Amino acid sequence: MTEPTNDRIHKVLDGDLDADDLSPAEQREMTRVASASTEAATHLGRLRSPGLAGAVMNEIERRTGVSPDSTGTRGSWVRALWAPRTVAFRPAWGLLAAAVIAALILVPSGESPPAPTSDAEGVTVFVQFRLHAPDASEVRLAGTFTDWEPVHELHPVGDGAWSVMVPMHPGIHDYAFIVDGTDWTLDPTAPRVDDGFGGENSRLALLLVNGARES
Amino acid sequence: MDAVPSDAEIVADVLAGRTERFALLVERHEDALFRHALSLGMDPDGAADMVQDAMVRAWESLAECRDPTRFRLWVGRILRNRCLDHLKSASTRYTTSLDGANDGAFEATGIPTPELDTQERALHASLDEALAALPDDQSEAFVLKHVEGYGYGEIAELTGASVSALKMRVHRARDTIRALLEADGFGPT
Repeated sequence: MTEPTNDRIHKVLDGDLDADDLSPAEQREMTRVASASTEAATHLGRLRSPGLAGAVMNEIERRTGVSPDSTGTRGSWVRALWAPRTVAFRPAWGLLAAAVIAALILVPSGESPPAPTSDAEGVTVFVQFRLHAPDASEVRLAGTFTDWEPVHELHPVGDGAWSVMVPMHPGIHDYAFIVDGTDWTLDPTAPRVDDGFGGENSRLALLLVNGARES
Repeated sequence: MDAVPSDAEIVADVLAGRTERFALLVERHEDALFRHALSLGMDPDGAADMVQDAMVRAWESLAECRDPTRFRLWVGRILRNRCLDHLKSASTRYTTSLDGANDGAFEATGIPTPELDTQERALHASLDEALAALPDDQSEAFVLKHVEGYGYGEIAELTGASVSALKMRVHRARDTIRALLEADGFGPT
């Protein structure tokens, strides 16, 4: 159906050849091709998304349970709670470290005695998962926090180690690594629990300390 | 007046706790992501859903964005993977054809054109027809190259295709668009 354009013309349009190297006939054809492409690109460029910023932020709010648009004293603190932080926390550090991190996040300095928080979903902590798998070509993470879908891809960080940072809410989370798509692997640094099907999962406990407060 | 923050600056702000600034990234990139989703064969409603989903996923894994200066490429990959996964499932394809005569990604752009005269309306109809004739891979390459302004190397990173294959797709798309526009009388006189 389509008559192929002289490849030299496409090279000029791609910046791989100078237009001065084209013959006058080629230059006329190039103008036709460029004109049609520009018309099409301009036409497509008028397509606009329906405006999704509000929907995205609402979905984030729904998942975290706290609005990023809250205002006022409480709102600003809630917003600070809601904000994810790049805290390099390892599951192997266990409950104590989790409690310390939660306390660091939740207890503001110099504030009057605050009321206890009841909304653990409003806290997001970035947890670093790490596995030594020097022979792997791909490592993923799945757990109760992903409905066991291997959505988190670990990245090689040198010396055979793979790592990923995952935003998580406080709670008890079971998980496993999936090496090269098929090999479900436990975290050697984490406690193991019965998965109810004759196997085991790794377990991470991210718990808020009793003294955690919001202002 | 404050300078416009870069993507990398906004990512740093979000990770430092100013999470509401993530909305700036959505506003900045949603149109391009929407067009990219359409070019892959999504219908407008599905494309919007995919963009929303991709941005939420980007937020969830923002700390994994190893080079925030290339945020748009990173989120573009998330969007593309989501769209392709979605399109793999049955009955999600917007445009289908048994004879292959209209198997392109864009069925119609649906751009409102109330202010246009008859000649311009005809041009837009012809453009819709030409774009609908493009196979998905050519639509995507053309949109990323000529609408969004990506370099071939970036498109290769985004799609996993080779630069030479991408150039061939863009070349064929240009040829098809030119031929169909000129067949409808929209060419140089």
